[in-house]
Amino acid sequence: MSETAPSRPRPWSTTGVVAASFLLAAAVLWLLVMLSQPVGVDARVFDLDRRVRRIETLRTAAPLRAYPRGVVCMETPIREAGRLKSDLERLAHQAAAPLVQVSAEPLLPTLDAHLAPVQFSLEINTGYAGVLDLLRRLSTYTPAVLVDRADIVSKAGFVSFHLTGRVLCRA
Amino acid sequence: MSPKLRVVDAPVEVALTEQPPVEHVPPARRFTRTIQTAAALPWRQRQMAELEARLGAPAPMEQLVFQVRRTDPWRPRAPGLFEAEYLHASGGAAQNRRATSFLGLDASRRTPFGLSLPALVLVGLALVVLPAAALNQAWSRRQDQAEALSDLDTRVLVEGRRATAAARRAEEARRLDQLHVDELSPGQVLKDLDWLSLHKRPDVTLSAVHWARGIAALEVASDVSPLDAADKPIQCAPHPLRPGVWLWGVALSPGGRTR
Repeated sequence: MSETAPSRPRPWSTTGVVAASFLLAAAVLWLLVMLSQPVGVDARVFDLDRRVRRIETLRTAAPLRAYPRGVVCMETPIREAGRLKSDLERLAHQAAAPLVQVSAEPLLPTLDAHLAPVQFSLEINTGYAGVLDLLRRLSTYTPAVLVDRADIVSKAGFVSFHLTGRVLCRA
Repeated sequence: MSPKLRVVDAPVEVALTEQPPVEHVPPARRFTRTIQTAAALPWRQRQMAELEARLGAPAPMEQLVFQVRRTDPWRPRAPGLFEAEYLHASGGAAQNRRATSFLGLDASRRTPFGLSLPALVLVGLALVVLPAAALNQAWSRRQDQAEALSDLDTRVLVEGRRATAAARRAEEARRLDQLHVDELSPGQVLKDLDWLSLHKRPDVTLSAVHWARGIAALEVASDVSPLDAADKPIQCAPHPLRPGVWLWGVALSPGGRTR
């Protein structure tokens, strides 16, 4: 007769079952939350946030004036020095100006410099018109030529033109 | 908790279809009783009500089957009201089967947690389907997030390169501004030479022109000003450069470009 008595002791307690259910539900919820996120999502979001902050900082440095492309040379200073020297020889030839001397060599940039200068020196013997012609050709040259000094000395039947200046490359 | 027992009705005849009829079975009697428990959690109230029902049983428990049923819905901080229902079944095994059938407590048909088989199947299905659906959704969300993060990463990479290039250009522009590249251009030298040619006095011969950063130094074989322009400052060196040759300085821009 005892098999029908509802007062038979249960193998589990209700409180225990409820507590276990809550624990199980919490564990399942935690597992689902973990599964719903990619591996290392916090670190990736942190890294993205850091990079976006850097982009925001970089964007604040807007240029005051936009210079045309080619003002600064894209080559390394050493390669640009070689190119500049041969170009100066060519320009002097085009201006029909006998070349006396030409040189181009990179200067050491300062530590905080973003631009590395390549210094050049050019000396030709020509007429005054040849000087003007060479200056016109140099004014359209890329990268931009900066003239530091120009000396025009009148000689017998011709002028001696000595030009020193720089072009700028990325450091 | 007042143990007021009352006979609900006359002896109950319970039809058993699955068991053959038993001869000489004494009639079963049914009792009900109202039980009030203290305010507690619902399962605790039920435990207390069952204990009370067992304590206040109208006959020895081996002759009884009973069940406790909540009559009022559970409310917090309110006493619980239950009804205990007893069936006195002292007629042996067959009578017991009658009684348990009557109360719906047949041990052979009992299932875990007192649920019926369809309910158990539903619960089982729910236990399988719901976590599977949740798992699928979580995985899908994970994939979406990973994809979104990857897209964002690519965009940040591209924008970072763009911003770095723009910042470099800005820095270059700032340096070029500082260098005053326009004032040092060959075009500016041409302009200054043109200006000198235009304002040179016709009776003067320049033996040399030295140009540096907007300032021109003119070698002239005269101590009289070689230029007829009054809009730019012209100054003669205090002493001749060479015998018979004088050096004249002219600032071709205001103050000269001395940077």
